[in-house]
Amino acid sequence: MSRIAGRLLLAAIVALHLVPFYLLLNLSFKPITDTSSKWRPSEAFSFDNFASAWTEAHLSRALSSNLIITIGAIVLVVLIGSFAAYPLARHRTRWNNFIYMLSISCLIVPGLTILVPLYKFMVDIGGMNQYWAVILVQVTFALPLSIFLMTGFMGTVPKELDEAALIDGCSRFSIFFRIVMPLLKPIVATLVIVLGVQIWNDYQFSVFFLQKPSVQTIPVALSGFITQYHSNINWVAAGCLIAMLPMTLTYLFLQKYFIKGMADGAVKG
Amino acid sequence: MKKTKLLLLAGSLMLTSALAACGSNNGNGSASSSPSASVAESPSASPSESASAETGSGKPVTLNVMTNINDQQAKVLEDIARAFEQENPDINVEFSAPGAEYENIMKVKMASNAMPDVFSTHGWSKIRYADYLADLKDEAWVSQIDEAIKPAVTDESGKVYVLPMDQDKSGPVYNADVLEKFGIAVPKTWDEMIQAAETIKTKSNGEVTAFHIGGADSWPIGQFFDFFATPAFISAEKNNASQFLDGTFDWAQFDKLPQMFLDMQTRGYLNKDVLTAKYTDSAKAFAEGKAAFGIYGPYLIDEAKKINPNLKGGLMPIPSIAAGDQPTLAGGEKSTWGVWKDSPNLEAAKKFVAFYAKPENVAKVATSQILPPGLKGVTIDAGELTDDFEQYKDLRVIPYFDRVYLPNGMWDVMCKNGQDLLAGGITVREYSENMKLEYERLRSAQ
Amino acid sequence: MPSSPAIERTATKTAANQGFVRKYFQSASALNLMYLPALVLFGVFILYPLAKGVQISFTNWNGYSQDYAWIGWKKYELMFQDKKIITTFKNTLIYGLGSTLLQNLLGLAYALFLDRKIRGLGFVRTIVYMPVIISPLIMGYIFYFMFQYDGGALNDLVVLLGKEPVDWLANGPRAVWIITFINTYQYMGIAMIIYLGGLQSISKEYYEAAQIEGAGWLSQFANVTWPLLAPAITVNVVLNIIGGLKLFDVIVALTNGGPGYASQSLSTMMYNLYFARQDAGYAAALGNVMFLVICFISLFVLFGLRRREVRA
Repeated sequence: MSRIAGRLLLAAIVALHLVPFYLLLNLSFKPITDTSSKWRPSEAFSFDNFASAWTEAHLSRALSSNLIITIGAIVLVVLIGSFAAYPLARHRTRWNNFIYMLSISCLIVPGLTILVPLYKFMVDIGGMNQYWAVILVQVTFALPLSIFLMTGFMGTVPKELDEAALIDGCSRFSIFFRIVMPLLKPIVATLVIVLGVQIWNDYQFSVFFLQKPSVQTIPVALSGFITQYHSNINWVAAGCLIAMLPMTLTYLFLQKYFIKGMADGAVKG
Repeated sequence: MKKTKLLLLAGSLMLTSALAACGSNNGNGSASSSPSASVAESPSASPSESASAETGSGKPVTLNVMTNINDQQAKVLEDIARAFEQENPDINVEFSAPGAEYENIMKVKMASNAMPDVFSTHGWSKIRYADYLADLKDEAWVSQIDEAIKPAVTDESGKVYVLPMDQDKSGPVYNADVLEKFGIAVPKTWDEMIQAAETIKTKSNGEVTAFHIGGADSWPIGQFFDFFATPAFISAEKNNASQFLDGTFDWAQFDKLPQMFLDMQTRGYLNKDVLTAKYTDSAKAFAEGKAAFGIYGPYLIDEAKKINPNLKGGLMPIPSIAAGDQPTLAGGEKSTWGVWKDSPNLEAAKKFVAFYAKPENVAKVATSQILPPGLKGVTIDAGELTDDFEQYKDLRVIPYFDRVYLPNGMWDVMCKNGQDLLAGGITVREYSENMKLEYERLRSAQ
Repeated sequence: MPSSPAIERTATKTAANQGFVRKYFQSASALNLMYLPALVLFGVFILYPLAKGVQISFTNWNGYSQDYAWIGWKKYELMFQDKKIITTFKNTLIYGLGSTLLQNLLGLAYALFLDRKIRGLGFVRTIVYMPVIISPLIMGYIFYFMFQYDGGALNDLVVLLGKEPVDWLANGPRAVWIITFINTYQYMGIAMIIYLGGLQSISKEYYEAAQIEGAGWLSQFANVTWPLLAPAITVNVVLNIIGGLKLFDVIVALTNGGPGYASQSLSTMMYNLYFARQDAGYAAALGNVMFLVICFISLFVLFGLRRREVRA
């Protein structure tokens, strides 16, 4: 009885959560002339919108921009974030507490208040339309969360491990590289999933810093479909589905590590 | 088993890299060569990379070109740019049409004094972009500029701000089939228009909306105020034009315009979802014959035709309000190219603009916008609007109200307060008061 | 340094330095060097522009021209005269605290419900997580099609049931809650996953011990699950509060802060002031206040929850 009820509840949850995706999918298959109910499945089951989005927004080019920026930024975020988190988790002085709070405050800074000064700065250092510059900006804005999660996670790695190694004559740095870092796998999976999506979808910064068509990312490329007087929401829907694919695959690949790994790390602690 | 092996491998890799770092630390005894130094230094590594090559012939030049125009019209522009590249193999054009964010991007670019070499000015060449535009008065095409658009793109001193490829001649649009169905002639005065709205409302049992406004986007509301401020305060014989310009306007008089707007809603002439519908919904309702008028320009017809290719739309002048006044059209620049005055590629940029001034290219752009061309001696096929333009060719074309009579920056106040008015958040009086406050703030800041 | 003429002295000095350096690197505070790269990035890309942003808030700059005047605290004073500011703060708090509450309740409920080894649950988890992957701007558009009056998906159902269609977003307070709900729907997947991780980190022995003592489901939850979930709760609450208080894209796509100003948040208000109203000074002042407010709320919550963790 209760098992059946549970199954039904599950089915209801899944159905409810899928509604927006159904609408999105439906939109992406309908031609713009089809103004029938949003629920009614597209009659002409055509991939025209996908093809148009792909060619008009140069999605193949945008996709590679996205990959370069996201992968580059994530690697740096994980490295720099774990470096920063280690002393903050292990060496809790008053000064380091301040640094920790400063890092979290950086998470809160409203993007717009710094946009113009940041833009000026980017122009000055020749960072406009350059991958390295956008990567650094993305890294900087992803770092606070990375430090926050990493510090929390490292707190669960027992200090005794470090102390034992210290007695064995390991330097404090090699303890980090040899003992702590390998344990970070689950939190790295978490960061890749959470921050990867954030960087992948970033629009606010990318739209200002990547204007050259050849370096544009997908959200920027798709935004060209919507302006004041004209919009092609069906193309945007199709393009959005294309853009989701790599991130969905990453998630599917990593989710096991994500949940399980998180648990592993904490249990050992 | 396998896991420990992996761990070992990873561990040893880490160890070697740690040792490597140690080695360099011992070498110079300084702390700054931590593994991250390369990251921290890179921002300053290539400061001069962004500057393009100089314009001397033979050397390849890259022009940055940006426009607010998107969709099919942007394609027309880009195709011409590609043709230009064909003709000038040493000039490379980076064409970008960023869409909705264009104006904001340009503001940030102005703030940083880093404009594209060539850009479009969407109605603001002389006000917002003036300080950044090169004077184009020596270009060959200047003599060809149509008299009607000249005041919008040149000034008394003779400076030519931009190349106008077309010129805006705008007013509300109507769905011809709907008007025919209800036996309505195109209204010439405000009273006639309200009469028409009443007829449509009663005859259709409320099925057809007289005016569809996509209020959630807020700018369509501003469009109403921008259009009808002209007959209300500017075009009549007794008008307030000079008072708006010198700052002596009595804003209590402004009440009548928001009152007109509010009345349209209370009498049921607006779509029920005026607060939550978007511009695209207007286009859809217009395309499906569910709306009679659109207080938008001809672009609404263009957008609606994507949905219903058989739509018959027409352009009408802005109806007059005061007795004895005549209808007018709203005018100004629409598709333009201006050149950044500090562009490192000034010559190439001017060459690029001149290419668009060729009659066949002007024709292409104007046709895509369904607007009269901005240069003399060019004729275009405006499709079904050809008759409209012909019919109204002698009407007065008055610049958009906000571009001339309000300080730059008022647009949003006009839009958002209009929304608030319909939502019941403010009264007609407060609307005018808010306008006054912002008008005074922006004037004093200028 | 090594190129100085007194090579020998330098050599001995270097040796001494080396000793010192080695000692330094063995000390715990040497570890602090590891956060230098992060600090440099923060300094260059956040703190420096932020300081410039503070400067802007004391000017009447319009956001793009080359000239402006210093006007002191005027823009901050303006905030107290702004009639819309109360609603805006209230909305921001609802976006922030409302979605935090909802995301955590739902995220935890889902995690408890889905924390079983049954085939197919992985699929369900993926479905719940998927909205995170969509850009929030697009999510706003999708939900616009859901809630729009004319031809909206929800109204289609309402009409099917024989009722009058509703203009869902026309009512400001309701629009605020709809936006809160959308934000919850989109990001509860993250909360759920973090809670799942937290749940699976709790050793089965605790539950077994509780069962031996005859504890029911509720008391197991209260005495085992809840206290041991503390770190997961902290992470979730802090992330959701910051995300919710900064909410921007969904609002823009759905109502653009309207009708009028009824659903605007501090973020959208600031954006509007900066670009559309050309009042960059005021926008910056508002941004600085918003920064302080969010900092205060989230650090307060963070340290409160961390203390709870320690006690648990």
